[in-house]
Amino acid sequence: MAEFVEAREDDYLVVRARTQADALGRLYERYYEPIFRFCVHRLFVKEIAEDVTSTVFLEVARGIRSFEGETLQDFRNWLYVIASNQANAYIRKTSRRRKLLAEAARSMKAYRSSEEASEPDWPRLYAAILKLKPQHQTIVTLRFFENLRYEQIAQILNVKQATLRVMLHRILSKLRSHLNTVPDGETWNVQRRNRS
Amino acid sequence: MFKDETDLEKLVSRLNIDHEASPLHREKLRVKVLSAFDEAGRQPQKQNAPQGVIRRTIMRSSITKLAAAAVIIVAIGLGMYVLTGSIDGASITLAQIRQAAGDIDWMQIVSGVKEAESLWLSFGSKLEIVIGSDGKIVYSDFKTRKRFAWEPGGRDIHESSIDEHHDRGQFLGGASGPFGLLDSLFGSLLTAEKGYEITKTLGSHQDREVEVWVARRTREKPGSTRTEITTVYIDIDKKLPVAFTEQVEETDGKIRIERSGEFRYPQNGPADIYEAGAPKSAQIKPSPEL
Repeated sequence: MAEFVEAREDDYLVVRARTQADALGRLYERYYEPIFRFCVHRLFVKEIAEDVTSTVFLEVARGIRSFEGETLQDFRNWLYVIASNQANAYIRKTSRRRKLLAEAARSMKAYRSSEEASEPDWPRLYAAILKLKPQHQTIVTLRFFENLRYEQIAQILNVKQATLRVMLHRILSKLRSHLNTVPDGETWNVQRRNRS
Repeated sequence: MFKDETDLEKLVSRLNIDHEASPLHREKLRVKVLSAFDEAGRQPQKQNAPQGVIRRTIMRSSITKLAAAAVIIVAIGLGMYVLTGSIDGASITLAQIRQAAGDIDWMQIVSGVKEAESLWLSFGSKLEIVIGSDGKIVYSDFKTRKRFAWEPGGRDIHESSIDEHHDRGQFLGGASGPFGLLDSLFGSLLTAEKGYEITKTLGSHQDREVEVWVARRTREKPGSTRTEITTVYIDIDKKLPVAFTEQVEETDGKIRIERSGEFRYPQNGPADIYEAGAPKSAQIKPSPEL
């Protein structure tokens, strides 16, 4: 019962945050880290993730007065929608996407043994994820990096759970294929030098 | 490489990702966020203004007599305000009221001194059904954005679309549930500066044990003094308001009841305008206003 009461208190926090700065401050403290983490997973470079996190919370501050949700779950979903849109907006520009890929390539480790090579590290996996469509990137990030349930992701993306499952199945096939074609850091740099 | 979903889950869990946030960025952004929030509050709201606008929207809707409902809901708000702990010894806590209110789907408010009028609300289904003291029924479904109206003696039920930009275009003027509604109303009306003097006693109402909360405020004008007394009865078991009265005491000491009413919390409400009381023979037709 105590937990339930606490949950209701927390829910009320969202309603209060529409008009009271201290309540918004508490929501900020609660969700800064998850949103920053989400941005790092989507954008790889911490400085860029900080910029996008700033944009997300400033949008929240300006829009919360007309936010209709009441519960923490409503609020969290809203945050992820804004964060996904902002991350997508950032990588929509080809030049920015190239910059992110270059950053990932710079960080890639050279695989020395076949055992290590069988498992991609974070920069390599990121480079493969970045080749997916923006919405698919969001799905992969929410599902595997933020560990959200299908139900939660479906709410955030406003799709049916069954649709989401089918989408994810296809996304994973593409991701596997992209991982096979993502060059390691050294090859990547040679390719870049040849192009220039 | 990974084989399936579970495999990818494991792979990701083994990744070494640096996502530690910078405390400096966090703190700087906090200041910016709160400043942006303040600034947004100083600018005029273009839409969905909670608080005063919601109240004014409800109060203006004379056709469907929502003004009456607004007064009643304000009374619930009063209960909320009173229970914020501002009075020592409150046995019912705000958390209990919130918990109880959070479980509500249907609420029926029956009010009136001489003739009763009734308002049904479903917070889950966003339905608002007003049955006026003259028998007129207005059934508004804010999910499908359709409104049905039936006049007593009428052969037809008039159907119209709910215009989002109209005064009554949003469910309860934009409040999305009991919390939003109560907060909007009591937040703007029942602050301490409004000069209410509040007392609390134990009592009974229709054989139920209740807490009786009385809010009294006196307004003085040249040549007259008027005291407004609002009483809310809160069920001790259910932690919900069950009734209210609103009285006015004039300079000569005479007290008249302005309004009184009851709150009911049924499991279900009318599924359509026929269940709300329109005759089965009445046919649904487009509103002639269209």
